[in-house]
Amino acid sequence: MRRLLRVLCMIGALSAIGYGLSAGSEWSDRRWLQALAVAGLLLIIAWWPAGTRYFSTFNRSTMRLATILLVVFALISVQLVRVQIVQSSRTLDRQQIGPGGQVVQNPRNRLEEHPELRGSILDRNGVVLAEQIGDGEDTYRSYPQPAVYGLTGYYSPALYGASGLEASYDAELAGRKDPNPVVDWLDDVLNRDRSGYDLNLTVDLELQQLADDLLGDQDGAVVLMDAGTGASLSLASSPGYDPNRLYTDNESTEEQLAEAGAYWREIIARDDAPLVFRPAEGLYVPGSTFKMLTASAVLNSGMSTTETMYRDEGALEVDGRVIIELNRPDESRVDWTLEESFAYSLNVVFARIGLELGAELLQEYADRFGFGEAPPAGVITVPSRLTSGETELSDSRTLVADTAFGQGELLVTPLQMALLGAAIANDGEIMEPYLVDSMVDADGEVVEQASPSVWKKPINEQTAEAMQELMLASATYGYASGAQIEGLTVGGKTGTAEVGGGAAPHSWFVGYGSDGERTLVTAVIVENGGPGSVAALPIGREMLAAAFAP
Amino acid sequence: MIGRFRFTEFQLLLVPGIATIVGLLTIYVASTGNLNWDWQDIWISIAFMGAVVAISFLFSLTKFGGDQIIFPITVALSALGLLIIQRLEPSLAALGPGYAQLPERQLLYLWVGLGLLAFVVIFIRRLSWLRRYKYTWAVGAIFLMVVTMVFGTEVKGARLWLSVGPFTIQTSEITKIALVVFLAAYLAENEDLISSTYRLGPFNLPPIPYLMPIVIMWAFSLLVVVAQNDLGTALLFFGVLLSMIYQASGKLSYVAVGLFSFAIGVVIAYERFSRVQLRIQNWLDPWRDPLDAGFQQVQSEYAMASGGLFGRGLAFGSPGFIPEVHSDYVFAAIGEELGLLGTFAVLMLFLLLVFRGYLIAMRAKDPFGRYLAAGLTSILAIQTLIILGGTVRLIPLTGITLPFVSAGGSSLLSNFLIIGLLMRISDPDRVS
Repeated sequence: MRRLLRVLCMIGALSAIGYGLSAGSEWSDRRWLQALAVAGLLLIIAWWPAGTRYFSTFNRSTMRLATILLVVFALISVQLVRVQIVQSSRTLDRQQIGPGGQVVQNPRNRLEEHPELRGSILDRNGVVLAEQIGDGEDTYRSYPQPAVYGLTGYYSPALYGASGLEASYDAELAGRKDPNPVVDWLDDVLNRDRSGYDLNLTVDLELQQLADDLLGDQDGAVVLMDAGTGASLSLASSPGYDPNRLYTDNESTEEQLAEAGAYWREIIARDDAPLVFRPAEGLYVPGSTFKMLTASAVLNSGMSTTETMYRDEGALEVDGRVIIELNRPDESRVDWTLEESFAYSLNVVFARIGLELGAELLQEYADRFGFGEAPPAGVITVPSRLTSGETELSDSRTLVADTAFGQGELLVTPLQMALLGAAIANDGEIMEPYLVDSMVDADGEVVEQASPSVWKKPINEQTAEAMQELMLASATYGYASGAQIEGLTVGGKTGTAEVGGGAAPHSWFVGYGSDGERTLVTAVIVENGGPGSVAALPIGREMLAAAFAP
Repeated sequence: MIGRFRFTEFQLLLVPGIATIVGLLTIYVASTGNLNWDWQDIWISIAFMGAVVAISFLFSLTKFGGDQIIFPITVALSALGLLIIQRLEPSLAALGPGYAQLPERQLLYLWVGLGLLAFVVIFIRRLSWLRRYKYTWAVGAIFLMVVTMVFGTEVKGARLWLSVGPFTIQTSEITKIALVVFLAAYLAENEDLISSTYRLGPFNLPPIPYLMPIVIMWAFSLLVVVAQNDLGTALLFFGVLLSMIYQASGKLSYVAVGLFSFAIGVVIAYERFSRVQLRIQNWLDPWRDPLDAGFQQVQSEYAMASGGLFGRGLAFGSPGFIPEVHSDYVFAAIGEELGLLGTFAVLMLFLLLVFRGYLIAMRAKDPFGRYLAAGLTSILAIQTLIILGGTVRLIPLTGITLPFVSAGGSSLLSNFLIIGLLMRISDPDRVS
């Protein structure tokens, strides 16, 4: 009986502590302390010394006292685990604005920064995209090229930290980290100050400017990358913001801090979210461009060939929901090959394919292409996803059908769509995307040189070839036929993603061009830009043409 | 000549000995950034360990047969404290001349403390005289507190210090021992009476007349302490008193009554004193006023969080951001630089020390030695828990030192005296 009570108390105490620790920041400190107090009482019961009947009063009560103290020591240990491990990163990031507008934050953030030693960011031709101007205390960071504002991100150690490359390569730019672990350790032990490294990007400023110009006032994103290496040539995001105005450091005057603060509040209040770096962090409905994935899945699993015939009578009922076909060029025809269905983007056919594949295979292929994980790209990326997470694809057949032609609950990043195109254009292999070609130390020595590597191989070579045929067909006689460029092999797929709420659909284009030596892949989204062939496709075409221009 | 070499003690001293010297070397090399060092740069740790080893040999030479565990634990904690203070020296020196040469001063206190410990262990053969003059200690303790209250030096709003010639003494460090000596003597004499009951008509009452001296003694010291604005010490006195009465009587009802009256006291204090409200608020939510009232606590949270599991390494953190880091918040500095492993190690050392102390009490043959050992151990235990609980925000923070680790002469001397007395009691052959 007594033993049972002890076990129960132990279980109760451990579950209170375990639950409280895993609840993290959802629990207030007050609630946590209450749970800890309960756990403490339970522990005292569980550990209460037994068999002390024949002990002297003094010895018995001393053992009991020691037990109580032991429990308090145990509670302090648990609290230490919470403070030093579980809540650690939350505490370190915690900041607050004081009554006088002072920023209360971890002073260690600022202490480690030596802004004057911070490295520069350069494009592939050595054009400066971000650099530190000035020496010692009077220094600021300059971003001379508006076209890359979103990519470089801002740097504001005294107030808002950093974003973009400034954030993802913070340790290297600040010189806190050496790629050679031995050197890194020695520097650490000897507390040596280091100049930051310069980053040489794979990005071509001219292409980046072109993308920025082509987007113009429209919101959206352009991705252009080398399918054979994974090197990004352009990652454009619109609208932008001016990182020059957010710079602050330890030596900033109150006035400078106030100005940066005012600008910050202005941009975070805007509806069009300029701080979201759309190529990597923007989540959109993919529309018909997602058919690339559905077609890849059905081809790779051997269920169809490009010539397999599908029936499209203009409408398809799935569990009470009717999918209306609006894309057939000839409404009297009901039988279409897979290639034609892809070129003409027939929703009914792809809904059928989706149902044929089933939720499981569709999910499997999405995962193979990298859905559900943040692709490694040199900047912060977010994972693309098939469903919102609250529902599962297998929950409903209508959702499977909708997803297969690119609607449903799908949310993808432009980068993910470019990677999908890259798998097709690069014979089934997705090269790991990268942005930093090399890092150079203050003496001009290259400390790290990127080397292309395979990230994923979602489909086999035959499937990739068949998919290239589909993409070529789409760009020859299908809805992407406007993408043709003289002297290049161009394949592509447009998308018109319905966003609901009466707003114009998002305009998508994913395509690739090859001159026999290099294969470049592009993904373009123009938010609320209308049909894919109208807004996004011309931008993609221009990007490919310019990239291959001699 | 050496009858029984204290081999266990000697072995246990090796680890803190090596750790403190290597640790100091790390601090030196890390702060200068080059590997050239000199013996002079680490002389403080060597000087400390030299004295420690000499005293251990002296114990062997004088055929002292007592406990061999608590001395190494004490040394390990003191060595860690010395290390942390040397590591904090640069940021403390910037605070003003009052903080100059803190490591050297700490070394001096440690030497004197070690001397005191050795003196008690080797030369004080019998403790019965302590028992005999129990009321002298009680009255003396109260007198000392009143004197401090009237003539003391005020530091940060609390008058806890007494200037005697070139020294300033924190008198509560002396009174805490004097009170325990008095209580131990009193309880030893009236052991049977205190656990008995006292019949008044149909009621079984506690032996109120026999508890009176204790209660009066305690109430007076508590009042003085509260008047001095030293809540940590008040809590310590109260906790030690409760634990000793419980050990003597074995009655949880006494503890319950004590805790209940304490709860009432807290409620009254909360309503009457704004500084108590402030402490409670800082305990529950230091972020309400992170720049002023909660500043110290918020900085300590940042420091502990930046430590993580392994810590940032000695001399690689920035514990200097925490005000009073060398005394009240030394544990946060350990948390930042030595991580969770370091804080756990410190907790384990204190836990071992406390358990060992109670073991000595349980093994002691005479009642006075038993109660004295128990009371002295409770001082260490409760003081440790009060300051650690406050640092990690388990309870409201009350300024009190972490035994052996925090900087400060009075606290070091009194705690070394406690260890000396415990070791003395642990010697089975020579207990009075």
